[in-house]
Amino acid sequence: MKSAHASVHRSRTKVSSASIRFLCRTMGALLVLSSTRFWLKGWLEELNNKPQHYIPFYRLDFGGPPSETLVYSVYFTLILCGLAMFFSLASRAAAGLACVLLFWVQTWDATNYLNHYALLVILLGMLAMAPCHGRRDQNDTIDLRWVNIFRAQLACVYIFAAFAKLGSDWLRYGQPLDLWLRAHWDMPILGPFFSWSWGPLIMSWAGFIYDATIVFFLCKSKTRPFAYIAVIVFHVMTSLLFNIGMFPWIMILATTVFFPPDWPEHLKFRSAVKSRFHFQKASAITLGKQYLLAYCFFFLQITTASRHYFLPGNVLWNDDGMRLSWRVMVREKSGSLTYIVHDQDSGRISNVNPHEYLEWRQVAEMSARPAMIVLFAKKLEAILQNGDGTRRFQIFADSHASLNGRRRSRMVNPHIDLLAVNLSKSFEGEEYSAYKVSIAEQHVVPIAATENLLLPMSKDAPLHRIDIVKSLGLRQ
Amino acid sequence: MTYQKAKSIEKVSTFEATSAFACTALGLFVLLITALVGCDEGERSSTEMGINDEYFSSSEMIDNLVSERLTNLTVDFSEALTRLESSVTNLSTASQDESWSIAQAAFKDTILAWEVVEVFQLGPLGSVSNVELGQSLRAAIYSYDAFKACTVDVNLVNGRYLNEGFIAGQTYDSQGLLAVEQLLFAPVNENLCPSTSPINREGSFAALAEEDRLVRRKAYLAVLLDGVREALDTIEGVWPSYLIELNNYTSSEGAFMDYRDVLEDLYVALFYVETYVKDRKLGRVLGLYEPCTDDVCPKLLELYHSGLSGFSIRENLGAFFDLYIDANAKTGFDAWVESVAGSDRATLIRDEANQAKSSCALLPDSLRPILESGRGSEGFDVIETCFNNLQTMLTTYKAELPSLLGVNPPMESASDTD
Repeated sequence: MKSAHASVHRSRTKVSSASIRFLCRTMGALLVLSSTRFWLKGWLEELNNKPQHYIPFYRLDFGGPPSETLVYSVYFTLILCGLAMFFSLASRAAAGLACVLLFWVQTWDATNYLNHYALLVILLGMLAMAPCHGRRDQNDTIDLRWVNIFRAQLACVYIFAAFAKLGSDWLRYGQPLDLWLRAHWDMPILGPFFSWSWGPLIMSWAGFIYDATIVFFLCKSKTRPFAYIAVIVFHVMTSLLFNIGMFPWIMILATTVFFPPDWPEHLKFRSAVKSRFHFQKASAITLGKQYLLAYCFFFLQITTASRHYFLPGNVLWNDDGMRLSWRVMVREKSGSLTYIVHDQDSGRISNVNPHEYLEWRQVAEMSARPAMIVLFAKKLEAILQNGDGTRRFQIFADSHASLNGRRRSRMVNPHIDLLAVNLSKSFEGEEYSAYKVSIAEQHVVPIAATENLLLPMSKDAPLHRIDIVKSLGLRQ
Repeated sequence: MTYQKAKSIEKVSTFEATSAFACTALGLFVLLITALVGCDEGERSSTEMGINDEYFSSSEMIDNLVSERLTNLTVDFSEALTRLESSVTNLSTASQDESWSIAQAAFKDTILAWEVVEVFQLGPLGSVSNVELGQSLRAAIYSYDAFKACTVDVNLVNGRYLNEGFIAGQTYDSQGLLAVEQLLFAPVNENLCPSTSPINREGSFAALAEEDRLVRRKAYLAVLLDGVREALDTIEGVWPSYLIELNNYTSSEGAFMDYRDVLEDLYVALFYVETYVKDRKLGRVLGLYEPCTDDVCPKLLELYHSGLSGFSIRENLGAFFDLYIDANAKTGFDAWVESVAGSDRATLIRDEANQAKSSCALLPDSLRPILESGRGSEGFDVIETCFNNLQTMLTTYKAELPSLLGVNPPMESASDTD
């Protein structure tokens, strides 16, 4: 009875809400910057209104981007929400609205998905639910569990990013960092290091060790200041080296939640005694067993992020379970795709370059992702039907991709009608092997040439009209 | 067993259990790392990392490109255009006159010089949305694939080409070199409009005498060539400042942030070959792409009237291969691949490109007779082989170059990554 009472008491530990208020303000500022950046760079038009067609998420198709006016209105509202969060005006409502709008924006076109937008949506949702009103008030406190939930969220991102790096590409060959860092061989000071043989491999290991340990060091009060310096150095470097937009700044600002909950008060030279009290209270970064809500949330997140371990194939190759798995910056993948359309009524077979319907950017994203290839094939059928609905088509894919600098390999089985592929069953063995060509079946060859390069080309030669005609037993 | 003793045993076992768990977890972690690092995700071998100057120098590539190719990019075209302008001035109003053959020969030189320029859709020549400093000025000179032949015949009949500011008021799809080709080569007694078009339905085309048509053609040609010259002057006016920007890629204040920005624009040439040469100039006529709905579609050939369809593809590819395969110097994309992935990998890419190059070099000047004879006719396999080898080469380029070299398709830089 006593234990239960103590447990309940612990669950109700109140700490300063200053760090969450700070997080709310900074996420608001980032929302304003990010949305304004999209607006000023013309990306709203480029990403949403210029494309004639969009690629939906599987089972999450809300009809693509809305009208141009609505797109701009949504981003204008996001800017207003960001401002409201920054100035602490109805910040929970603003965060909630921003979360919903940003989630909606993400569903417009699957080719626009980025991990850091997903993280921002989650953080906004959490800020909307956290009982923190944003206005600075000396008595404004928050349940410790909320602070810990934010910490756990960031821990998830780092830990899963570390797991993602556990593989030979990253730890043994230093790929894809090697490919990316080469581009910066002329960078002052670090350039020579990047072009040194061991440079990318050392950077790979450093990145893995950073991701695997940073949460631990951020949790310990003695190491926290040094760990935070490491956070700043790491993310500023990634920002300078890679085109990853707001992600580094989200992480730099969000990891401040690992500091004592009242750390912003220290900045304002508030009562040191009070702050120290809060510091001690907050040092215990543990989640109580009774926090069912938090457990459910993180159970969902962990299962979502680790689902690819239970699916067949290599997630980097087939993309099954890639989204929301926090596998950030661990692969370089590009592809080439041509659809082959068989009009069953006329017997006619024709090639379709997806660029005829999609922007280059969309094609580049889609052509290395099997599920997107299937989803757009179904959309292509609707386009070809042209409102008729009675014509019968079969659509095949001549699809090749290269992962982390390997030689290209076929990605989708060219003899499977993509319209007959049931994506909900594609994780099951038989359907999977029928639809995707797994990485094990390809001739995967190294970046530097070996005798493997001399494997017969015919295996991966692009599909020509004659091949499909033969495979279908059709007249030419 | 006393309570104290039981408690003590419990503590020891808890400690042991905890230690065993920690050791097991640590052991598993080490094993996991060893296994994962040891097990291949795919075969690889160690590779020389970093840009290897022995094979490739980006600055040399850009310097070479600017000095050898871009500085005088339009010179051949301009000279040929001058000869064409002069020959059009001397055109006789008799269709069998030699002056028409002279003008047609001048057109051949002009269009073939242009087909080289066509591949380099860079800066002012390139699309506003695809390349740095793009102005889409190319479209005023050549608008293959968007060209509307019927509009030219309608203008010929109604004489609108005589109006002041005619060219400025016309859309690009009915002017430029393709309109010139039509007026120089298309049969004088035919037009390219459907029977439902007013000039056929109302008989206004048929009402014109042959000589009148030739007079009109000559005058219309002069107006069109003035338009081409004006567009060329505009290009040549802005081209030097573009080259200065291009040479200034090392400065952070220029339009190009670094050498990769420049090389990425050059990479766009690949997509010209992909969409125009492979899909449209070859794929459509071979009946592989819409809008061809027949077995083969010779009417969709580029430069159908002048019979230069094969010639133009050879010129396009010649310019493209100069840029992409340059085994002797350190200035081609293949040399870049070699610096990144080693010589064997580069050789493989070169081999595919050389296969495409050699098979497409066999294309006859005009594909029309072969296509009109139908599938299976003599020479048809040459066209198909060229298409297939181009497809193989482009599949490799599209799948591997972005991964190896970090180059992106046009406007891929919109938005962020990961």
